[in-house]
Amino acid sequence: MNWETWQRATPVAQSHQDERQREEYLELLEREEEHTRSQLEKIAWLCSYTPVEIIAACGLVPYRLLAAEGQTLRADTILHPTLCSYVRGALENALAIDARTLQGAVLLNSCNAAGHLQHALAALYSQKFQYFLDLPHSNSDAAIYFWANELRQFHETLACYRGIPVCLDALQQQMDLYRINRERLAALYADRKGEVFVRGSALARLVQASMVIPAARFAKVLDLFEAFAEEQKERGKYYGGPRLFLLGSIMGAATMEIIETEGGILVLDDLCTGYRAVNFKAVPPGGAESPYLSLARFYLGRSPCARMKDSFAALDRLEQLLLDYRIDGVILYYLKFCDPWYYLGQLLKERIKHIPVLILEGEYTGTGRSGQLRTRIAAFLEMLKA
Amino acid sequence: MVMDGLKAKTLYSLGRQLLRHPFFYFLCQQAIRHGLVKYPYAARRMLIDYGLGQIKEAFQHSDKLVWSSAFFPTEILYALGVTHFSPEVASAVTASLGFQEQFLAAAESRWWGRDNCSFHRCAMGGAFLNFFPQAKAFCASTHLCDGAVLLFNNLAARYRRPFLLLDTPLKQDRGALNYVIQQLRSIIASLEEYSGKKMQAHRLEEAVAHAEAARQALVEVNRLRREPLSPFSTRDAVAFLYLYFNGLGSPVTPRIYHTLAEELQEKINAAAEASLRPPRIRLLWLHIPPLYRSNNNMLAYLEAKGARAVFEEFSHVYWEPMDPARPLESIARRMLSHFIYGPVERRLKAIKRMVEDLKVDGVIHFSHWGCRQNCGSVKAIRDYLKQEDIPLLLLDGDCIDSRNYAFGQVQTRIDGFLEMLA
Ligand code: SF4
Ligand code: SF4
Repeated sequence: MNWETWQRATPVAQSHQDERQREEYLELLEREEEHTRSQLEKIAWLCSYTPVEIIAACGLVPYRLLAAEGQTLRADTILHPTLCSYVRGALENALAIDARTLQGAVLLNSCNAAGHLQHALAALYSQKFQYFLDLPHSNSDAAIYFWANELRQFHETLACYRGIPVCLDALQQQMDLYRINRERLAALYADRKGEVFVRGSALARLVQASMVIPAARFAKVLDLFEAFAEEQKERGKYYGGPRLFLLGSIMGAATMEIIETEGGILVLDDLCTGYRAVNFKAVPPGGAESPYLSLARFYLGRSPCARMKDSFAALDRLEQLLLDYRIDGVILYYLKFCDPWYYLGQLLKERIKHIPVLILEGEYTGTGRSGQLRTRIAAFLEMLKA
Repeated sequence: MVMDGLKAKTLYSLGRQLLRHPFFYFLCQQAIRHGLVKYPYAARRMLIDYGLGQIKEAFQHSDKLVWSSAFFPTEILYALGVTHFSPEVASAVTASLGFQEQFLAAAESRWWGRDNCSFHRCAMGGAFLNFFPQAKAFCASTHLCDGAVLLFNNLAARYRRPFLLLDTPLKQDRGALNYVIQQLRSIIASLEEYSGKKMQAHRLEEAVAHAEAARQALVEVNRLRREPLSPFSTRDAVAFLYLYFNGLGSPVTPRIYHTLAEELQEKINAAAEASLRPPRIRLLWLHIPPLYRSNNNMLAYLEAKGARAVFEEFSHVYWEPMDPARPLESIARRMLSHFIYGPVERRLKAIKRMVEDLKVDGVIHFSHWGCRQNCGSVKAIRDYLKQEDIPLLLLDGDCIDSRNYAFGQVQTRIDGFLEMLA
């Protein structure tokens, strides 16, 4: 860390041109999101292991059902209060959006809470397409073959629902489109090993958009963002402050905002709505094996979420990652009642020896704005600066 | 109560040294075998003897001990001759002995909060306090809750031991069956490596034959429990769940169930001869009742009011007969058929069947705090039972953690429910 370049509440002054470029990008992003929202051919999905390529190959728009901001009054009458606020927020959102714009929903057995949400959505969308995918917990060969078979059955069922034949070429095409987008997004994260020229929240926002906007259209949004990021880099204007690694389940935008306004630099994240969603190992495109097998390898081989068998052992690789990205502090954020991240975080805290860790428990919405959270984040950042 | 507290304190202060010593369990076994402790059922005596023997083994042969989660197929462990230890069952026993609070406190003092399942929190505390035998490997299945997988994964990574996971799909088709069989094979291969033992085909067949004998005997026990004059309630049955969680594959398990069935038949006959009256209200208990010691036991209170929980869903035999000639397939089928795993409709169907078979007047759902699986199903169960016109009482609480237990509230709710049923 170059401490001389330290700036309190660090955002660097933006030039007029920066602003214009940023606005142009945001305008396109929002326009594309709005356009997707108005589409009638959407399939809602929740977990980042969902094979969106298959949905797109059937001519539908894979649309990530993110949790609603604010209270979850209606969802709370359906889902038990000891299920995480992300799942309750997602149901609240499903209840709020115009159901006519959705063709159905695809959920995965990601965790107990997701299973209960599936049941609730099945009642809500009883006339629509419903699918529950059996996601394995490991990356073994047996699991890959099982998952590949699941994917094939899912594709066949969805194609049948659409009244179209299964088209493997269309699937391969979508696989390429999504893979390239993810690689481009992952490259933006990799670039942050050095100085940081765009905010972490902006990158997370971009990843979030990639889960809503169809891949071909999203590529254009990505072009603008990359140009913006490149421009920032060329100008040499970077963000100074404690370099943070943020990990956990899913974080609402409000909490990220607090971290940044308090002067923290979100260098890297491992969130299900951030880097984890694009951190896939490169798989050679095409090849002789069936696309389902490639897709299965691709998804199960990605950086594991806490519910996966390999996630705990992967903690051993964390220290190196923290060194690579020159991380000063780690913020572990888990949602109240999220068991996977709770159990993983418990061990993580013990494993990270040389870098301070702040553990935050929150609600997807609501708590993000609380004063207590801000105080804790500010105190942590002060400690890092001392 | 004072005596209970004292006993628990003494037991706890005996410390891990004594509790970790196989000789201690040998002495307890002798005391039980010589009738120094009295039990209402000989089968219960056999059960305690068996459990103590297993703990003794676990401490004596920890060089080949594995920890196994509640629904992991113990048949393969018996067949291999690998001793096993179940932390969830250990939590239940800890609570029934009354020293769960020390274990819970140990976990909580290390950032282990109160929002997750206390079966697992208590087990974690026991591990932190070094009360339990050390494992060579951790074996879990993905059944029912995320918590078991996570606890085992955490422990395996913490102690740097292998984690063997049986990933059980929610589907019940051929692909799922093959996937489970393949995993069973690779788990067996890993266990062979860690234990230095070789799986022999005939031992596996025997273990499955024992599991099948146990299934048949349990079916018989359950048939007798349907009898109006059966004195055997959920209060008695909870201890026997040990066999379902820990004993499938052992030759002892069918013997204990057989003895229990014989004793039940005798007691039913005796009750008929004495013209005893059956309980006024028969109830089905969903999930597990509180296991900690308390003067204000919910089940006892029900009985004092003329009602009885005659059955608990975990005693339900949901799996098909097992074929020793096809051992791995039989185990895989058992794994896939758990009625509380997968879509909630499976559980609803089973509840309906139990309600009809047992001719109960109502159902009690115990929402164990921290159990996402169980609490999350409450609405589906409530809606379904309402539609089927089956009375339901929802009780909130915790099976292991007795703190925050307000008997007054529970009492009021039970009173209201029984009045409605009367
Ligand atoms: S945040 Fe945790 S509990 Fe909620 S859906 Fe994700 S993994 Fe499940
Ligand atoms: S009570 Fe629920 S969370 Fe706890 S062990 Fe049982 S199924 Fe798992």
